Amino acid sequence: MLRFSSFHPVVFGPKGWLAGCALAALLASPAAHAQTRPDTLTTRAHRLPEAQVRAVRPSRFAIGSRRLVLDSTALAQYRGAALVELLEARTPLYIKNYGPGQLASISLRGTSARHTAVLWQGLNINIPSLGEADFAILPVGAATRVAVQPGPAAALYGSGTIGGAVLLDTDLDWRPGLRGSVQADAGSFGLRGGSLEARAATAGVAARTAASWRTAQNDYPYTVQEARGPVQRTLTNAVLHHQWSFSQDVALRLGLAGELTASAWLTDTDRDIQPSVYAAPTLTRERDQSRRLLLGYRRVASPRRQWSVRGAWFEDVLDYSDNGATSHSLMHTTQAQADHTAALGQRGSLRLGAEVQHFAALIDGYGPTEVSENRAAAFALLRYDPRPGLRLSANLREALLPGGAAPLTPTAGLEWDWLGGRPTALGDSARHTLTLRASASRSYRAPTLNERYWRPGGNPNLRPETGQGYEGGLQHRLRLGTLASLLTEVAVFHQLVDDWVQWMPDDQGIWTPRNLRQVRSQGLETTAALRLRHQGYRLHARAAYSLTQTLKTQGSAADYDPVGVQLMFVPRHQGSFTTDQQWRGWLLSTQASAVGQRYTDASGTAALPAYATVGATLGYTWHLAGFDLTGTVRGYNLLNQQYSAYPGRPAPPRGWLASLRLDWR
Amino acid sequence: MTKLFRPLALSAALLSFLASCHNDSPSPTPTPTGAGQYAFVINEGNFSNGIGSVSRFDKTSKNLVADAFSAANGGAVLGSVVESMTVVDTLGYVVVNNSNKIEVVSLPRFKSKATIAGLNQPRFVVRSVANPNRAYVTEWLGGPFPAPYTAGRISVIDLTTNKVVSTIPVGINPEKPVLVGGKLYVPNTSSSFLTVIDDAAPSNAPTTLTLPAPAGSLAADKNNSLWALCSTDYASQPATLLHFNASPSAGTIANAFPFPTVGSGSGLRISPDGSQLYYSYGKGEYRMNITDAALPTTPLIRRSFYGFNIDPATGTLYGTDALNYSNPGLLLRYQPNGTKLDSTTVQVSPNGVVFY
Repeated sequence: MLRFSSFHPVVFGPKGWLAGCALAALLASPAAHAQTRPDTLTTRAHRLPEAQVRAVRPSRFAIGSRRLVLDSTALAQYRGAALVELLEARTPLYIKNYGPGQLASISLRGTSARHTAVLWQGLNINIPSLGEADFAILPVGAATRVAVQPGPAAALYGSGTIGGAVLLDTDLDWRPGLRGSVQADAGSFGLRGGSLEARAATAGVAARTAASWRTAQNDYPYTVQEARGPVQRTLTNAVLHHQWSFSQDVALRLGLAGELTASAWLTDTDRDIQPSVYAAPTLTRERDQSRRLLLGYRRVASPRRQWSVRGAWFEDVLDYSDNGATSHSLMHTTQAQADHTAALGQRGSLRLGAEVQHFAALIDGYGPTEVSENRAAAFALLRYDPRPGLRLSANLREALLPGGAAPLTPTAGLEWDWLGGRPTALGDSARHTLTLRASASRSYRAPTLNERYWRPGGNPNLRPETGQGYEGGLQHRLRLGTLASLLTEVAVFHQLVDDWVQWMPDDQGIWTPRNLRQVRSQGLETTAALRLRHQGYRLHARAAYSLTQTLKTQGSAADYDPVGVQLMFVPRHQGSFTTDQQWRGWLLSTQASAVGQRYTDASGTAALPAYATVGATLGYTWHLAGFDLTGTVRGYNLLNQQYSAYPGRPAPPRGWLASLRLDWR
Repeated sequence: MTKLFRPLALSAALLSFLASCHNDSPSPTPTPTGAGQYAFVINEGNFSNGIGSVSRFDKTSKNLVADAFSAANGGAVLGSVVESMTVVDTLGYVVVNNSNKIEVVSLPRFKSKATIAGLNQPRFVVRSVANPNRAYVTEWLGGPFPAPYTAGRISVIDLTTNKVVSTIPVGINPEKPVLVGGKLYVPNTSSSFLTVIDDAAPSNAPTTLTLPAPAGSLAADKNNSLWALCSTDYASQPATLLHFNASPSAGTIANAFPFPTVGSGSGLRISPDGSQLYYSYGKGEYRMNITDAALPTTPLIRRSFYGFNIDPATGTLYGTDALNYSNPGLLLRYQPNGTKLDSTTVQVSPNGVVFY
């Protein structure tokens, strides 16, 4: 299920602290909703751990921003799949997808792939050389909660969040006992997969293990127009040889006030890289491997103060081969973060923190020697609720990059419950809430390793890109007792990105990146979500539409792309409609999404046509003694649409995926 | 894909740029002289998309059809990296480099007649004089970057069946050959020699003509003597324009014109009357008379062109500018004295013009 959240007030105060912890713990559990809802507290039994050290999440300080949250119910249908499949089906976000298993990069609010940061446990996991994340090599199973926060957010999350951030988090389940599940998948075009998840907790330790594996032939038919007429061909060189993911999270309580956490996430993807269907076949193959380790310690020094330190080590390997020619990339990121959170008076909290990062890369394109660089940042996050129903936040970050200091990136946000819980004409059981929110922020993107060190052409004098964004929204919720709720939301945004980097050939014909342009992105995002509950039947329907206009507004004479034309591969219009229904043991989900026309060059002369796709999932759960057995069948591209997200890469035709899952507790 | 492919695609585009800006106008041998009203602009296309095209420009009506092949063949895509086109009577042989094929089309309508497959990275087609039913196409072997390219070859095509009948080994990365005095001279852009093939008996072993540096483009003048622009190492050596003697001393150098500075020197062309040479150097296009004693010091046109050709019917100069190789480029026309006439937008990476 996808839900929208604005941030809940968590009151800090001597008694409020524990209540706040309990509330935060409640809200952290997967089935809960962000705003406190009486029906949840009364209808669901929660066992709250006794003295729990609860982390204060960064999202507490993200007042005024929208968040799209996918909780475990939504993630359950996509275990073993990569992040691209989940986001394409369940969110109205645009992902430029070159094919199943092929490169998938996100475009948030019209910005490019390097303007969105993917964060795992709050740490940026974009590949340091490219500054981008490939959503096809991030299996979903490792996370228990996926959230997307569009809009600039550098103060909170650091470099690279000009368009927004995608947050992958794992919440450990502290309910005592052992739970687990195992799943097997089979699907069209040679798709085979399996996954397992196990969770265990005692009073002092909680652990979660998740692993998944997938392979696919992707030899699907497609039609290409040739001189003699339409010809059907079979796709070659698009095999996903294997993709596996293994994650382990452990939390250990030390005494009453300390908590030690350790996380590891290993991924390995071996896939063919599909050329344009118009080009001669190639034998291109890529191996992406990542090993991520995180160790942290959190301590509640007093009811009003807590601090934490974290250290992480990431290793990213990207090996590419084309008919015998190879290219190797090996990157290491070592980082440490420390922060201190304190309550300010009765109504606020302040977090101060610092982080340092060390990057080392041995990449063929940089030459034979290893390059390294260091970055550091300090941040201050303030949250203040002057009165109930009004929440304010102000954040600031200053980063030190190898090329000099990055610009100061402040963020200010506001949320105001203008109309809270007022009864309507429908009677006492109906409640209106109207929340107004606004935020203004600045963000930056540090130059990537490729931009600084590529030979030839790397430009060490490249300045960081900067972004400045304003957004405002109105959210209305109508609640009809415990039976139904209707949520509608409208948000408008305006964003300016400056010093946008463009690679251009210089006088010698050598391509080099330069800060060449200014890009303006503005638009509208609307959502309506309906929830119904009646005896054993549940319905959650959500419709979303977004309008995005992204243009180059200024550039230099050396930059040939014209001003005032919608950027390539940014659709102006996008919509999605999803429904989830449950009745007794049955589950029926449908997804429909429509993407508007996209230009394929910067002059706006060639374009890919608009398309719409429809998918559905049907499942049934058998409740046995101590076990649950769930069988689901998912169909995608049910209308058998022929479309391409990228020229020369046709999308797969109608296909299906069947899964069988066994849960035990 | 922009992942690691982008640097590789950029390198490939760079290599494509370095090696492919040669598209000679037909050498003075009995093939159609292009006296008609059409100019076909060869657009390589965006490498990653794989969609190249040929635009048809009507000189009388100034009408431009952006993608002539697609318009005539129900929306079909010509292929990836359209490198060149050679006119054979009323047919066009369009070489599609990264799709490993030659599309045979009717001119001027561009309706598909046949496809020649079984090629490997083909570059340019030249029709034989000794046997008008035969044509030669240069091909690269090896690669792609960073794998090394190996010695390339010429495939001999039977034009009546449109099939490859034999192959001839040449040097590394051969480009557009020139047929003069009964011999086919092949410039190998990564080998310091020309491969010389006997047009009357191509099955005989080819000979080689040693050069001081690899030649990128060749031209034959009205005296049937060969000119070679040796210029493929931009960074360290200045280019040299070589003038060979005509038959029977065809292998000896008559004159050598070194360029003043490193950095460029490419795209050697000959005017239709065989008396003026054109080449691109620095940020300009230069013109030189074949009897001049030294290289010209001032350019004819102050612009760097990706492709440059001379209209045999009118002498009008046609230059193409690929801009940043990912946006649609420009076709610019100039009077024979270098005065700009007009310009129009064509498609991505236009590398030359063929007249029909």
